[in-house]
Amino acid sequence: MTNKRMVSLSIWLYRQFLVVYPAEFRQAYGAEMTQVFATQCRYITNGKNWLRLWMATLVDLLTNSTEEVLMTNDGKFRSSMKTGILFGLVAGIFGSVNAITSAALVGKTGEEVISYIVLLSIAALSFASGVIVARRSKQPSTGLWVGLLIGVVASLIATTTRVGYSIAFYNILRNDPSEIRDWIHRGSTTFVDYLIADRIGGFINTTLLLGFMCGVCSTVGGLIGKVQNNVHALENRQDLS
Amino acid sequence: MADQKPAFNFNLTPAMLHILLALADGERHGYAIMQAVAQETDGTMRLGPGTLYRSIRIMLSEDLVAETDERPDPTLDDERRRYYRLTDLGKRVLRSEIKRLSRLVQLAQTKPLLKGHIL
Repeated sequence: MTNKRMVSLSIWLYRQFLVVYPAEFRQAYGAEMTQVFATQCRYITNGKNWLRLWMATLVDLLTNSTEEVLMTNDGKFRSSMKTGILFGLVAGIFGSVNAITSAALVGKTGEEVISYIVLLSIAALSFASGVIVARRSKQPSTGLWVGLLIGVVASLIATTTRVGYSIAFYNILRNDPSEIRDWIHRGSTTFVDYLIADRIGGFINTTLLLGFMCGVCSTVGGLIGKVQNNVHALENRQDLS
Repeated sequence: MADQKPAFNFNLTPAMLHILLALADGERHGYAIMQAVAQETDGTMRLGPGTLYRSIRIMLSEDLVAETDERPDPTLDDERRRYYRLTDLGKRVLRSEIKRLSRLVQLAQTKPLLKGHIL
């Protein structure tokens, strides 16, 4: 990719990322921030510096937008986070069902079906939470934060259940053909070593996957919630006139 | 008068202090402030656009900085750029903060543990 295209793509991406800031802040400083970021991009000449710039920019975006959202939308944001925790708990229960389901218990097809149903349910929960919090706070960006929270809470609950299940039913796992196959495939010295590495890796992967999926679903939900708010406002205005 | 303690109860973050210092040389736009801070700290402090404009927003609301009314000549600079300057309160707060920090350094120099470690 040429440097000019990389600059245009980076500026476009940065402009999209600004959605995480409250609307008021974005309207006041969004254009200037994009302009400053664009100037930074124009001085970048190699791939290493692009990586450095983007890493610093993402940290800058996350820390400042969180503080700004907390500062400007305190009460509503807190209540949205409570909604996120509640939905996260429900999503965690779904995730736990998936975590303790194994091919030995329900068969390979059964395991796959349960896993798809669980993923779809968590996605639906994130979407619904995005709609609810965006309608309540009138900020579609709140949907993203709530989605990320749901992902992390659900992942924590599901992986804790999986670890607890592995300890409580160690003897069943020790004889589970799919676990034994994975153990051999990984080449760990002992079965316990394999289990520890697998569960830690599982926690990281689940958090990333659920964080991303829930973040996307609730952001979409948040945008739809915003559209619904606008439609209601328009209907009310028409009723008044 | 100049070193009078300002009636100001507000904690300056390191980023805000560096922005005020950058503006002590005169009015600047956002990117110029970023450049000045990076240069003055030998690159140890690099402000991102978020930190810069969040700090500016807070300092505008606390009346430490103000937006200048004059716009640069369009042939010399991008006229969409907003320029910022220190207000009188901002100057007083900056002086007071630097005085407090230099007193702190003086105090630290009297401690045997830190002797030879502070310039």
